[in-house]
Amino acid sequence: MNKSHSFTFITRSAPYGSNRPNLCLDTALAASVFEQQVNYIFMEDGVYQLLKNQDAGSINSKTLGNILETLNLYGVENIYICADAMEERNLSADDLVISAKLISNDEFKTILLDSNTVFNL
Amino acid sequence: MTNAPALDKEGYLQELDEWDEEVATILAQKENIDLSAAHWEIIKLLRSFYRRHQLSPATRALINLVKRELGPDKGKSVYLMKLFRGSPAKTASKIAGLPKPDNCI
Amino acid sequence: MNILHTVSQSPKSRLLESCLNIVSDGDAILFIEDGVYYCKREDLLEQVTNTVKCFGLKEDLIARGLQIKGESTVENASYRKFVELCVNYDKVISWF
Repeated sequence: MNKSHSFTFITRSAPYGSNRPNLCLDTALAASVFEQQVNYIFMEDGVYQLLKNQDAGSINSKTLGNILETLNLYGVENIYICADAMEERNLSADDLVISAKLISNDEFKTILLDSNTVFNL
Repeated sequence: MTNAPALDKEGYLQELDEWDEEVATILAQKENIDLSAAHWEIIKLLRSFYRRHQLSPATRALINLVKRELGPDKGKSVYLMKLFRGSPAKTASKIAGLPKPDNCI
Repeated sequence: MNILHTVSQSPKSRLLESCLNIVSDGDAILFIEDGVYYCKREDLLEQVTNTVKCFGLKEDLIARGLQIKGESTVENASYRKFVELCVNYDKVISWF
């Protein structure tokens, strides 16, 4: 695999209800370790992963929000949030642990077409 | 010297609250490391990162964190491996009294 | 550049609706596994514009006792067709 291979990860589920968000993240981190270009997109209930003040110690889980807050340190630089998902859930940028670019569905489509591989979890 | 702190089977502190500089020195000795100012700088950075994120950074994140906070000369795996032999993320977290980092790919 | 979207859960999942957010003209949708229950939901299939072709995997339809009617907007697709679609579209995105 050369540097030009680009991966897009779409994460669509809320945290803690299933391990989908964690699987998506682990796969993305693995791709970034191999210095591949990684896009990470929060869609639908996936935006709930980014809510501030999560403390999953109460359900004996690791707090996903804390990990996502440090995503840029793990080499995942292109992080996007689906603008529709935020609006449908009455969320604003202030509610989230990171400031990522909000994208329209058209921008979303462009990212997908520019990616070599898309993971959709 | 205080009583030896309780460790798990991999040598990480069982009670994170028991950590102080003296405990760090004991933990470092177990790894055959004499703590210098350069070590303390990393340990303090790790502890403040952990206070904010409740997370021990894995290797790659540690390197990027050090690069961001202490500059590119220190944010390199060679530099960190000289200070904390083996896997710097694991060894440094251990001495800093933090849990073992996940995602050590 | 066009994408083949595979949808593999029943309408309760609202996966088709998710998928349609980012479907473009010229893309195709293939219903597989429990996704084939969408083939009987003309009310939901109305959301798909006629610039997007829809297919249902025949084996999965047969297994579940479903048939696509002649006037349906969904076409039957065999496994061979499934492979052909994968090859003919630039990318495959799975919705599951």
